[in-house]
Amino acid sequence: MSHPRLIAVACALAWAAEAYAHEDPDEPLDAGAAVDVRPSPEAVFGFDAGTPVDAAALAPTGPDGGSPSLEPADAGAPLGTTVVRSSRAPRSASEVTVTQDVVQAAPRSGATDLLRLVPGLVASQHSGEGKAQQLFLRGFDAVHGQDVELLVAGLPVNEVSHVHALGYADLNWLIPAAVREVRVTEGSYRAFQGDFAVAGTVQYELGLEEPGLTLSASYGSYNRFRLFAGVRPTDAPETFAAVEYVQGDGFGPQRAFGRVSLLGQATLKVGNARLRAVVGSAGARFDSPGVVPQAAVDAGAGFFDVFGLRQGGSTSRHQLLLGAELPHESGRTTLEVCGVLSDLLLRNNFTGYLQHAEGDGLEQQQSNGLVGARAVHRRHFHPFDSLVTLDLGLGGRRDDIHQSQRGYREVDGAPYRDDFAASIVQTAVSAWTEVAWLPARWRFMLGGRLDVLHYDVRDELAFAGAGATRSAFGPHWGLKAGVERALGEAWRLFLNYGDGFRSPQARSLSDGERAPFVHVRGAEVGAAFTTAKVDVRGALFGSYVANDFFFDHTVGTTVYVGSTLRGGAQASVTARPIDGLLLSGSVTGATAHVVQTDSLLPYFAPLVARLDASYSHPFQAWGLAWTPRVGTGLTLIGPRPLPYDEFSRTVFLADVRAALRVGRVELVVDAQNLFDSRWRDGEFVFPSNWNPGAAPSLLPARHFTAGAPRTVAATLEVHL
Amino acid sequence: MKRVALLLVSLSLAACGGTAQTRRTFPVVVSTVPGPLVTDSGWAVTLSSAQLSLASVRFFSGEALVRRGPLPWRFDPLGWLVPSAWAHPGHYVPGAAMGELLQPLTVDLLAAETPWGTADGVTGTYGSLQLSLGAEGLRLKGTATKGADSVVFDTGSFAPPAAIEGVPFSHVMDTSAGRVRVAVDLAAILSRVDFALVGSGADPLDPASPAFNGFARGVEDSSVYHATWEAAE
Repeated sequence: MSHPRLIAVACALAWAAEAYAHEDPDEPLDAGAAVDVRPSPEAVFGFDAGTPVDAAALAPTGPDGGSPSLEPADAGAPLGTTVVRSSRAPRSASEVTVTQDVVQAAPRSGATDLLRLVPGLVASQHSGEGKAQQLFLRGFDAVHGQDVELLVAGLPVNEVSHVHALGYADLNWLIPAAVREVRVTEGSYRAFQGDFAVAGTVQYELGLEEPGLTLSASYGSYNRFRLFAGVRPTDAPETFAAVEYVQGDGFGPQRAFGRVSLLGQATLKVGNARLRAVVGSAGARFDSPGVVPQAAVDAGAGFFDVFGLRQGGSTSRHQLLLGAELPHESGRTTLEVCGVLSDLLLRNNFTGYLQHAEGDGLEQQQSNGLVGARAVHRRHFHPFDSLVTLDLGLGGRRDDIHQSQRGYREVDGAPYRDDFAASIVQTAVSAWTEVAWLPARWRFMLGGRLDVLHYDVRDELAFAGAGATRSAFGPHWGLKAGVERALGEAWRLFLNYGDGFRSPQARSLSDGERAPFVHVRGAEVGAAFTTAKVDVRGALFGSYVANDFFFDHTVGTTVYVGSTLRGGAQASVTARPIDGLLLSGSVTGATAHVVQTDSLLPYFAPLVARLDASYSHPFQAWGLAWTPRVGTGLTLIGPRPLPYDEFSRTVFLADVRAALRVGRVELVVDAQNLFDSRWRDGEFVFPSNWNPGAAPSLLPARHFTAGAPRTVAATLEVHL
Repeated sequence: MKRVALLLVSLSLAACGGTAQTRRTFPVVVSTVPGPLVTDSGWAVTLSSAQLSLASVRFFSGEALVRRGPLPWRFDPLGWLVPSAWAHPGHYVPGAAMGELLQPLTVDLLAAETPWGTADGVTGTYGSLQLSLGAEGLRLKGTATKGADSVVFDTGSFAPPAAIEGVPFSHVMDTSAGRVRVAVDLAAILSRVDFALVGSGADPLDPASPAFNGFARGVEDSSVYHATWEAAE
């Protein structure tokens, strides 16, 4: 860590320590927070449920300024107590919380599976098990994260001005077993949603499901090997430490990978204050087979063949978050500081020898040091016998980026051409507010958000290596508004509006340019029906982008398309109709088109459906607790429009899980892509030439990345 | 399941049309620009053979820059003293590839027209094309006369070392039927040739002679190739 970064972290720590010195009592619970009272895992194993709730175990929510939620108290509860679980109160029909039982319902071997938990989201892993997934959500092709804001335990995942793609969000370091819940805020209707929250925000919260020590080992198809160890204290449900090691040969040539990830979170209550620390370190190396030309397959090449040697990459990430939550009699203040160090080395060649006789391979390198701080203050008022809540947020973030791109020779991998090298300091300062008035069964929310971006860019190669500097600066203002109406105990109607934005790529800015933003205006109308056993939601959504562009990152071209319009509908259901049975599904239909030409935007996902289901039936036999469970995850992705009026193929994937736990030992068998469907994970249209001696066709042609065939893995897990 | 997905997607997208562009094919024919063959130095040429070896033609979105003079409405009082430099062919950005025909062909330019083949392309705005000649390039044989002088010549084969870029072809390509005609202006190719300056000989033409140089410059000149869209009747 550089000297300025150390100073910044030290200042932030001092701020956190000062904040920790304040003590305030807990705030009251917000009206509208859904509370789900059901037996704890301990109760499921044969103990009595229905004993009184320990109200002291209820804690306010995370720092996003959302409604307070009741945190799980199962770990801290003595045997025989009932655990109260609560999800945050949604503020739009498509604001959902995916709970841990849904996360664990079906096989989750990595980040792609965790992303599929988000209703309507398509995640494509087209360059090996280490590169960020390409995301599609609500009519947006978010490339590697430019339209979806991703956070893990409050730590930002999107990388600004990334060399490979704007908003690059690598989640491969996230350990699936350590995901406690997924908070999804689709659209951009909430003021806490920041940069890249164009199609929505996804927040992963961390925690292990079971207290004690958990050890597991997995072995599966293609020599995939996984070791996991996690520990969670009984009296601190959010505190844990976990490490995961995974390696494998991959399902075809040039797909080997290995990664290790360490994650930890500690919470500590000091008086009324709640302190939180999150740490993590991860490293990965991966090979990539490249992109397969369909014409080559038609001519006899293999579906899993390699096009382009030496593709793949290496990543590392180290992160730290320190937070303090300070309740007071009429609200709560949350303070957080964080630091993330991340590195990426990526080699890819999607076009062969199309541009250069030596080969079009690109070696991209990025090092980023992020330091950020955030403060959220929430306060309640009670004017005229009604409730008013005020949320105020302030945030700052500095990214210190070093990036380069150079060409390498296909024959030996030697670099032969420098494309660019830049040092960037990108600073973002934000302030936001939400004011909500809750008269009777109504809730009116009005909010706004101001973001100011500052860029210092040093182009290292300009002027024959002497370098050139430029800077840019610009603000963005966005409005947020919402109306809710409760109908009876179960129904809620929502109407929402919100402006979102995406920061620009630093290298694209000229000196003195007022930093342009891609500005999205979104609106949604929907309804939710929530009871103790079922939660059903439906929404119609639309968004308008005035100055949109389409970035084809496979060939690095940007096409400005003017104003674009997206719309669609989404329905989701989570039901627990009987003890042990869980059903969680969603269907999203979307469309996206260019206003000026009245034509479809390519690549977005018009139809996405997902179903996660599981059933478990614990019983006692021979003095032991037996818990068999089965689960499935079904994914349907409809044909996606491609350039030149073509469509991708439909994808249907079925994953299944069968597990049996006896006492402290559990055997889990996972099968993914059960029907061994030969599917295309990514489909693209661009020109390529893999025959350096021939006159290449320059016309765009269909290419694809092969999806994984059926894989089976067995896991032996011991709980101590 | 897949059929249901396809049906649902088709229904949801039916109101929005396609993705702006679509693929199409179109035929390409090769001919010459009709007219007498008279060089700038006054030689009247009669050809007995004209063989053109073609390698490929590619169509691009970028427009060729061929403006050769000041715009008439632009007032330039000092223009007579310090003339402006104007863009000339070659300074252009090809842009996106819109179509191509990669099938080699040798054309007898004395024939009325020769079908080249069917090009693969996409709809959209075309601005220019790039013509690649085969290894044999262009070879002309014939007789040049000027007054009482008569020269029998054979240029030999000449192929430019690089593709001829920036041939103008402005057309908004949709899905309607038609064809592209590439016409070679032999008069323009021969315009620079002075058959009095043939060096060591005209049959075959001395490659080191000024006459051959004029011929080669003509072959390389993108303005001697005329591309037009001919809509189907």
